[in-house]
Amino acid sequence: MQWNGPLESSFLGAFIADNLAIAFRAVIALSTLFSLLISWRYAEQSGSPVGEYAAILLAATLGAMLLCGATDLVSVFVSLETLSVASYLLAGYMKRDARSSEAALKYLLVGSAAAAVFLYGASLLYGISGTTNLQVIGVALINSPTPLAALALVFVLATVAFKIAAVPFHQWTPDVYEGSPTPVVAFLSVGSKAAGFALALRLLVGCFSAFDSQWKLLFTVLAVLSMTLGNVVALAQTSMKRMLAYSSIGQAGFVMIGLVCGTKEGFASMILYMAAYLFMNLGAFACIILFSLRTGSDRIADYAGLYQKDPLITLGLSLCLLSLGGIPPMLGFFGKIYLFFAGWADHQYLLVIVGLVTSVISIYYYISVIKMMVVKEPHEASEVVKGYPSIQWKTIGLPPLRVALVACVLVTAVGGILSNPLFQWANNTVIGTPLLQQAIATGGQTTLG
Amino acid sequence: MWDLVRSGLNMPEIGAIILITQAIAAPSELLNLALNAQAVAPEGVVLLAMLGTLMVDLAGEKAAARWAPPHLLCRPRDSPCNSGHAMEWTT
Repeated sequence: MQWNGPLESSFLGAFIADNLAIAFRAVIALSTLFSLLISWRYAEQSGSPVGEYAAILLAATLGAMLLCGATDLVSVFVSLETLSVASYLLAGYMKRDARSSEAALKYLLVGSAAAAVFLYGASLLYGISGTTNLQVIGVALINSPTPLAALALVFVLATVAFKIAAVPFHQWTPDVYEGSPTPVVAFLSVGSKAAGFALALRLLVGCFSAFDSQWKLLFTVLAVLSMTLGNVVALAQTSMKRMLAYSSIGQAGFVMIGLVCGTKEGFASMILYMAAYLFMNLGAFACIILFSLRTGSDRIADYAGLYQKDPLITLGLSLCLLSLGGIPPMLGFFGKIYLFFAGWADHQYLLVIVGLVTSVISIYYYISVIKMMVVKEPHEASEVVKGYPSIQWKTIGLPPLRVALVACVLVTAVGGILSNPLFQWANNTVIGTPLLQQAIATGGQTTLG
Repeated sequence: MWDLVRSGLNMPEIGAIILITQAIAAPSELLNLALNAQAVAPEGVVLLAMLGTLMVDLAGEKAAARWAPPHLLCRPRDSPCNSGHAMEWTT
């Protein structure tokens, strides 16, 4: 209904439902839907109230969706905090689990610091321009690009980097991912990250066009660090959740290539990769949740010989991990190749080379898990797999989990071959967004560098 | 406005009259506020779903508490008479 419709800002210029906002809101809404489906059994089994959990998750979704279309510093901050506060609650939802409480406290402390940094940057921007509207601030910064505005850029960029878990603002990610309930991690890794990238586009592309070369340089450094550190440290992980946490840091680095390009292909590849990441990552998390529900384990070593006992999880997890690694013909391969193509076309050779090398590294640790599950002989299976319990599929909450798992794995596996509509959708998103079109048209003409 | 104050009306009533008078005097200004709220229809759906979930959850808890009061039943000594009391409660 809103797609390609007449553009009119809402709430006195605080929100706009352009194609960019619609696309990212769709990704977030889908991630919430799948997260809810995979959460049900988990919440039931852990004895936590399902209703309150769903309500908090929906509150986080509300904040994330509003953040995608926020065009005013006040609405950005309000939606950012709605998302953040709900995320802290979700991270600590398993009150009886000390690790969950620890994760929530860490997330709260680091998140509060990030919010304070953002407020400081926002107050500087308001002081420079005398307004909270992002578009007007952008014009004011073009007219008077002062060093104070550059300082505001650093503060705002730190907030964005925190939200997308880019290195060196990633320290919270492994601990929070490891301690939080697994379905919450699934949502944070996709929904929260998508909102962070939407915020990055709104703030950096829309507001800081006067500092185009500066923020692109900073993001190049962040992308290189994220791809390298995320994928190298993931090699040494023994916990599945922790491995996926570092993997998500690396994946954020890949998406940043599209942001740095600032071309039509760059933006479209970003959107496409976020959509692909939604399915492959949530598919992987659905498998991990199903495994942990049956065994209570999260260790990679405990997956040894799983193929003998549970072909569904083995197949699903293998396909999703192969897609995350960028193996053809999975959806992740097409997403990644489009990102690298956009980067190469925009002469971002360093980013593309680092991306290719770290992709190879990531394939190693993803395939290690697959090898662990498939290649091991029955006598080499882990103790957990040897005593693998049977499952009653009619148990409350398991049918939704199975639906989410099959849907995500199916889209990940077949979506690559049938990805043309997804490419069209990503391209139309960029074409139908005046903010991005303007950035592409100016193409750094207003930069200082 | 002072005529209204002298008329002996209470402040809320005066406020309501002033608001209505202003709306009649300048309807275009009020209508120009155009919040364009349909742009946030998806967020509205999420909000309604959230409220619905909370209401159902709350209603469920209330019903559960009324049908079998846990704070009474958890006292082993009082359980028999309290169970009977809970049964009566439902009728």
